Amino acid sequence: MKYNISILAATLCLTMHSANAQDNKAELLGLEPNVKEKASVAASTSPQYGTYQLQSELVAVPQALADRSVSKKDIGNMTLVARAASTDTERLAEFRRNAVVRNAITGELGVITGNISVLSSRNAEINDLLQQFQLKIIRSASSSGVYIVQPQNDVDLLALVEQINSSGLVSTARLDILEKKYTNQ
Amino acid sequence: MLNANKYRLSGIAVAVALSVTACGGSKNIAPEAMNVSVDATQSWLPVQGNFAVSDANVKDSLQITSISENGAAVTGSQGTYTLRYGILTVQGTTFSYLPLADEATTIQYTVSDGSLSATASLNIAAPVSDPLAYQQWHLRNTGQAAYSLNLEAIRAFLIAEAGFEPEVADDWIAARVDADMLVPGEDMNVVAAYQQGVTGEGSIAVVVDSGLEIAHEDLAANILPNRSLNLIPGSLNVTDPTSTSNLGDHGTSVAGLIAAEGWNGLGGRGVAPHTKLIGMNYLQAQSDLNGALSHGIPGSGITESEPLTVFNRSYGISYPAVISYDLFEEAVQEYSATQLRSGLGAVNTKSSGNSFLRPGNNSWVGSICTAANELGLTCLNGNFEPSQNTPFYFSVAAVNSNGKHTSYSTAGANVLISAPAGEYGDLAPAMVTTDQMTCLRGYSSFPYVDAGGWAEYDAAFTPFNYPGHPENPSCNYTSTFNGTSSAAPNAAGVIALIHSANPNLSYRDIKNILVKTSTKVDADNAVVELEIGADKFAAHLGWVENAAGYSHNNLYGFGRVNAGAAVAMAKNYGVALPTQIITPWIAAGTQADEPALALAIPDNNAGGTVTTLELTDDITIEGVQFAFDVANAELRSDTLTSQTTAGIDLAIEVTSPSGTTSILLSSKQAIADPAVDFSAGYSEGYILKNSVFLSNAFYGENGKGTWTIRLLDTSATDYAVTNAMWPEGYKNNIEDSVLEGVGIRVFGY
Repeated sequence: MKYNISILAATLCLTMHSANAQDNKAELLGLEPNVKEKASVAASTSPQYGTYQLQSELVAVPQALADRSVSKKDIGNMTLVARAASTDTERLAEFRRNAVVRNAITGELGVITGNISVLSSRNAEINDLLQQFQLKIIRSASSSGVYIVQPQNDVDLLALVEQINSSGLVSTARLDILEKKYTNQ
Repeated sequence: MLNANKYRLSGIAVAVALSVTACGGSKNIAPEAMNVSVDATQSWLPVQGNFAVSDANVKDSLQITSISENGAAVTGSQGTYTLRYGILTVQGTTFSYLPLADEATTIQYTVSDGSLSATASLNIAAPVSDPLAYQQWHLRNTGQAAYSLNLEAIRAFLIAEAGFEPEVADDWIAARVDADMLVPGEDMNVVAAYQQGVTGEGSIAVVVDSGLEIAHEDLAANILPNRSLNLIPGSLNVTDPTSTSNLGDHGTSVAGLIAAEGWNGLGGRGVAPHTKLIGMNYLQAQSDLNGALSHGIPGSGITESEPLTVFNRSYGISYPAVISYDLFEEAVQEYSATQLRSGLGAVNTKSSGNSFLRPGNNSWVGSICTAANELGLTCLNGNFEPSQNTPFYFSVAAVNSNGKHTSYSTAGANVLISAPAGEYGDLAPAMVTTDQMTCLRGYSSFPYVDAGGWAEYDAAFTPFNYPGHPENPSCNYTSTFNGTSSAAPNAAGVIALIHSANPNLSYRDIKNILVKTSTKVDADNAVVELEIGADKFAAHLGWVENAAGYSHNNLYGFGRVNAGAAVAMAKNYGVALPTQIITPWIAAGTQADEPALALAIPDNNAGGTVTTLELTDDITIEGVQFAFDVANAELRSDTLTSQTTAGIDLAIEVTSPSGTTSILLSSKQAIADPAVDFSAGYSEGYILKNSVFLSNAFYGENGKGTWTIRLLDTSATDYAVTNAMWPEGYKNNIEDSVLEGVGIRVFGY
C-alpha cells in the first residue's frame, strides 16, 4: 500500500465537506478513530465568561503588524501571538478588545472584538443605554431591537456587560467574539 | 426563459397523395404534411410548435393520428408520447416537446382527415444543455450513479492495493453497496417546475458559508456584481469572498446547487439556474456583527425592498448537550424574516446537521451513539442547536437517491422539509456540483489527492474528483459533495423557484406551500419502540398525520421538496396568510419565574411525569415552541470518572389539543454535558435549562386547548460505551431527574 498514514489521519479530520466521507478509507487503513479531548474551563483559574476562558498568554494583533514567525493561529484578520513580557498583566487578565479566549464547547480560540451585542428591551430607548454607558452604535437593525455597540473607551468589557444586563434597558447583552463557533454541516 | 416556437418548416411535402371519392360525392383530397425542424431547444425546457399540415378540403378536421420513432409506432396516452430523448405532447396539430436527453432526434408524425393521411418528419436538434446535468439525480433521477459505484475499479483496487482476496473484495463491496439505492423518479421534480416556465428568474439567494468563487465559470453569470462580502476585517477586496483554501470551498459547491448557470454548455445545473447569487464568507469571520450582516441588516448592502429570497446556511454546531435558547439570535433571524423583501421576508434555509450517527466532532463522549444507532434513532437532535428552534429558520434534512433517509442526517421535531443530498459519492451517489476551479484547488484537485495520502483509493472510489477524468478535465466540478449542507441549498433552490413563480408570497406563504406540496418519502418508515420494564414508549413515530391532514416525520419534516408541485401552487396561490401572531409564553414553574414544579421523572418508568398547559388563544399553528428546565444534580461538566445517564435517558413527548403527538426527545440521544449557554456557561446540574424545542408536527391545527407534556426516563441501566473520557462510562442516574419549569409558545395566525 502506498500511502502516508500521518498525512491521511490529519486529512480525515480536515475534509468533512461530505459529512463523514472518509470512513471506508480509514477502515481500509486500519486507523483507529482519534479521541478528541474535551476542552474544559472548569479546572482553570483564568477568568471566564460563559464558556469562554481568557488566554492571558496570547494576544491578538492585526496580521499586517504581526511577527508571523511567532504566530499561533489566524482568526479573521487577526493573528494570535504570545504576549510580550513587558505587557501590563493586569489588563491582560480582563476581557478587553483583542483579548484571546478559548471556547470550552468548540475548543477553538477566539478574539474579543470590543463590540457588545445588544437586544434592546421592547420598552426601553436605545439612547438611554448609549448615554448611560457611553456607547456608540456600530450596526443595528432597530426594528428588531438588534444593536452592535462599542464603548467609547477601552474598558473591561465583562464588567460593562454585567452592568448593561443589570440596567433594565436591554433584553440581553453579550460580548461579541470573533471565533470559529460553527462549522459546515 | 422558455424558447417557444423556435422551429421552421423544412420544405417538401412527403404526404401520401392518394385521393378518393368521399361519401358525399365531392372528391376528398389527402392532407399534406411537411417536415418540421426545431432548431433551438434547451434540455428540460419545453418547446412548442405546429405540425406543418394542411388540407385542400378546408372543412376537413385534421388530427395527428400516430407518432413513430425509428420506424416503430409509439403508443401515446392522452396525447403524450414518451420518446427516446424526450416527451412529445400533441394537441390538435400543435405540439410541445420536452427534451430530456441531450440528443437530436427525428420523429415521424401522421396526420389524418379521417380517411386519408399523410406522414412527415419532426426533426429536433440536440438541446442546449449542461454536460453534467444528466448525472444530477437530485434534479431528475433516472437511476444514474453520479460517478459513484465504480465497482470494477474498486474491486481491482481492493485486490491490488488493499491486499484482499477476490472473494473478500466481493464481500466487502456487497456489504457496503445498497442494491436499491438508485431509484428513478426519486428527485425534486424540478423539470416539472421548468415546464411551467419557472427557472428562478427574479430571485436572489445569499450563500452564507466559507466563501464563494465569484469567477467560477458556471457561477459567474449569476453572481450579482459587487454585492458579495468578504467579511474578514481588513480584506483587500471586500466584495470578493473567494476562498484561499486549496482543499475545496464549501460555499462554492453550495452555490452551484442553488444556481449554477443553466444551458451554458458548462458543468451541471442549479436547481434555480436563473437565480442570482450573493456570497458572504461568514464562516471565515464569525462574530455577532458579521452574523447580523449575513442576515441582511443595514450595512450589509442588502436593501429591505429588493427581492432577496433566501439565505442558505449550511453550517451549525454539533455538541452533545442542549444549547440554551438565544434571544439575540432569534431577533436577528426575525429581522431577515420580517423586514426584508418589503416585509414579505426572506427565507433562511438551515442544514439540520450530520449527526444522526455521531455526536459531531466530540469523540470524548465515546460510543455514546451506539444505542441510538442500533435502534435507528438520531444521536444528536436538531433542537440541540438554538438557531434551529426559532420561528424563523427552515431546517432541512437530507435524503438519498432512493428517497430515504441518509446515513447522517440529524433528525428532530424541528425539521421542516427534506431535500436530496446523497451519501459520499463512492459507494452511493452524492451531489454533482461546482468546485473550486482548476486541478490545483478544490475537492477535485491534486492537493486534495495528495492530502488524502492514497491516490489509488481516490482514483478507484471517486474517479470524477481524480484529476484527469474526461468529463471533468479542469477539475471545476465535484461528485462527492453531500451532507445536509447539500440538502439545504437544494431546498433553497426550490424556494427560489417558488418565489420566481410568485414574488408576492411571504416567507410564511412559501413555508405553507412547502408543507402542502412536499413529497412523503419512505412512506413505510417504521415506528421505533423502546421497552421500559413491561411497558413501551414510541421513541420515533414515523409519519404522523395531524388533525389538519399534514403528515410530519422527525426524519423528513413534511417530506422532500417538490419543485413542480410547489411552483404550481405558487402560481395559483390564493389569499396570503393572515398576519402572524406569536403568543406569549404560557409557562409554569421556573419558566414562569415561579417556584420550581419539583415534578420527579421516575427512573425507568414509561408513565413518566405528565403536565399540562392551557392555551387560550384561538390560533392556527405554524409552529410550537416548548421550553424546559429539567434538573439532575448528577449531570455536571466537571465529572471525572463517570457521567450520568440522566440526559441520555430523558425523553419528551407532547400531545396537542387535537390529539397529535410529537416526540421532542427520544432518549438514547447524546446528552453528555449539562445544558449550556455560550454567554452564561454551563447550567451545572441541569439537563435542560432555558432549553427550547420546536415542533413543526402540529402545522395547521388549532392550538387552543390543553397541551399534554410527558417527560420520562427510559432506562435503569448503565450505558456501555468505549473510548469515552470517563473511565467508568455512563452510570445510571441515582436520583430521579426533576421537571422544574415548562412553557409553550405558539406562532401562527
